[in-house]
Amino acid sequence: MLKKNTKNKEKNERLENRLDLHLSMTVREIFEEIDCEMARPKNMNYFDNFFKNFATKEKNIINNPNKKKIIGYFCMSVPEELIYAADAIPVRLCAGSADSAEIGESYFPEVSCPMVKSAVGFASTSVLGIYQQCDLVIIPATCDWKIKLAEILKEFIPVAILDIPRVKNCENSKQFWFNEIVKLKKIIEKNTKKKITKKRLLNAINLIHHAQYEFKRLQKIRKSNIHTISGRDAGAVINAYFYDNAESWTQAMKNLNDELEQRIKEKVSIVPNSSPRVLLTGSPFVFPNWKIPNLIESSGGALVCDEICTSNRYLNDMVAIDEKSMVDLINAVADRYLQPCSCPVFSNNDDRKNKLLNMINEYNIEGVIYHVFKGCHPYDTELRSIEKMLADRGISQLKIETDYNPEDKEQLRTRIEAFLETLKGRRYSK
Amino acid sequence: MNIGRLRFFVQLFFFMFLIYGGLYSLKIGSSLPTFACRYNDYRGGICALYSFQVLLGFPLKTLFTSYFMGFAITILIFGFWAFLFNKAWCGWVCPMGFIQDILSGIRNFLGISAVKFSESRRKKLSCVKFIVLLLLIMIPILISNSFFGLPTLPKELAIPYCNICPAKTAAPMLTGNFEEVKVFGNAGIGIDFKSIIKISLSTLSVIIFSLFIVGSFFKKRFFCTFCPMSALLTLFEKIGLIKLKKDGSKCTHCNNCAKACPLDIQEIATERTKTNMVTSDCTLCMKCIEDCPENNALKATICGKTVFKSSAKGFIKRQIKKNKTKK
Repeated sequence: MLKKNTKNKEKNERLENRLDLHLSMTVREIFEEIDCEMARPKNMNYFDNFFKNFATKEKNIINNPNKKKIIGYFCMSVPEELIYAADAIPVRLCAGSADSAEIGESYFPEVSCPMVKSAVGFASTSVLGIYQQCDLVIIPATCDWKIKLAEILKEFIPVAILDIPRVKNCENSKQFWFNEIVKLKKIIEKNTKKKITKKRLLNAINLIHHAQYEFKRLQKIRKSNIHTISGRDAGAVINAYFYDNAESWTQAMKNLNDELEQRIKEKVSIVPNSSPRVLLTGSPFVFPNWKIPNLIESSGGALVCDEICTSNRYLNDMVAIDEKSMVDLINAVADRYLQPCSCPVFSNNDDRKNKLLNMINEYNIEGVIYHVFKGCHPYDTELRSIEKMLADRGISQLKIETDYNPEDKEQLRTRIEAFLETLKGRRYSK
Repeated sequence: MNIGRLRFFVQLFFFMFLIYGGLYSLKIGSSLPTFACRYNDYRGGICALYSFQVLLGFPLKTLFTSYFMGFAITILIFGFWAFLFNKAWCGWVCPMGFIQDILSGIRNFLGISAVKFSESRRKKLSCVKFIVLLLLIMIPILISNSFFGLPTLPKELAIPYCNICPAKTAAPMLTGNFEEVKVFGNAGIGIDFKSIIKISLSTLSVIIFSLFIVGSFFKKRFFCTFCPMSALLTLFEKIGLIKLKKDGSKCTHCNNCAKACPLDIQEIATERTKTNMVTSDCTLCMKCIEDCPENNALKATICGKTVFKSSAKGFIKRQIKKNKTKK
């Protein structure tokens, strides 16, 4: 028995060492490529540091000098405002590492979401500190993978499941969701031993409003026909928000926006202005899985916009304060995290189609790339109706089905290049 | 200037004008589509419902002879006013609406959260105002005319709606008049024991007035759901010059507008195809536009010209400002 345990321990150690090594290699590789890029905004440095820390030995990704409680969460349906109001640090744990997904593979069936595999890979090992430092992990029951993820993660970290109604627009589900958020508030209060008061909640809402103000500024900048920032970097900025404090993020974002606005004035562009404007939608991309945005941009496309839950969709919707009683505030917070969300787990999801069409108009999109994870059924199923909608309007589209593995990179490159070529060709036919 | 504050000052102005304007001989006619109460001595105008009830109280035979001009002019002036400002009479002018807003403000100041009607309940309750409107038209006609040989209704029921209207109680009180005003019944609060009809009408009036005060304290614009004037203005919801328009393709269904709506109209959030959002309950207060975070999704137009529209930037600025102010 004892022998078996030591054997297991040895095996685990080997696994962890390998993951650590591979992760560092992946991160270094990404940044080596990035270093070769021309005219990258200088203010990206601040955001890069979070990702570069993935490769250091200590991996201090979260800045926590006051030893506050850390509350992790998945998806974009967990109200961060409540976590900030309880004086804790919110960390979004959605993971993107192909190396850790390999470890997590043994917990899930063969064809399954790489995001949950990767998360389990990190949570079951102690390579990335943020997973095991969490005092609580909140997992909303959005898709089937998240429900099972909650069950699996229970072994490693304390988990709270946040139930979420899948049919949004009916009175019962609104009531249900409100009650769930009230329950969540109590769970957070119990965990942090701090009471969420009206004043604290209002301050937290204010904090995030300011962050969202800067986010909206970036969106406006990206609408310009001068490509001041790459789509990958715009995603990275929001990816950094997962790990950063909202206040310092807002400040860094302000600096970045100022720099980009200056660039528009000076007409500094990172890709030729003639590059086809592409919209990316579908399954999320999280660092270090920047495969798809990197491919699009290195093949000569301009990724000007995306409709992805780790990027644009994440900070887009805002809490609307009407009256300031506690019930009204909680209701406003609850509504913001459910009603406008266009994740395909909800029905009926006309909102997403509408949003896509609006984006296509506003950002002058020429082609849509639909990115699906192998095993991500909600996105995969919704693809049909969106394909049809885009075809009806004569918008070019490309579906990419992949996971975190870098192996299919070159095949995908060929397809993306061909797609971008046709987009250029289409300009003449119009 | 923020639109909420602008609305407050416009409301305050019309409140002063319609309640105390008469003191300075300011009057703007006797067929206003708003609750400017006839029983208030210092009124700055007269509610059209009062004029309609009086005119309908004449026998139909005379109505189409000598009185016809008077009747036609009243209706025309009412129509003109209603066409001009549509439901903005409710949200921006009505003194009773202003009183309700003040009561809601006090509630909000005390930190009590508002009661909300669910969509199904609101739909059921908003039928009441059409019934009230029908009764206030039919009763005066049945008093002075006999149809199919049926007996006419007693004369004491004349001007039935005014006898139970909360404005009849509230408006004279605001000018310091708590005593009986002998016009057609008694203004002020109290029960009149002269006859059974008077007892029942004045009791009903007391009940309705108390409901008005208590209801609008806990529920924003409580009385507007039942207001017959709002029902009458529904006729103008499509043709009025001021309009509330929605572009369904820009909407994300975030529900902010429905949350801000004092009358809990869910339609504004769920509607996708219809563009005209002035419904029978709407008061054109434009709070929905204030709370809409999408560019151009909601807008108010006058003669087709946009005067106020929703925008992401405006939304976030208003929110940050709202958060800063105490309470």
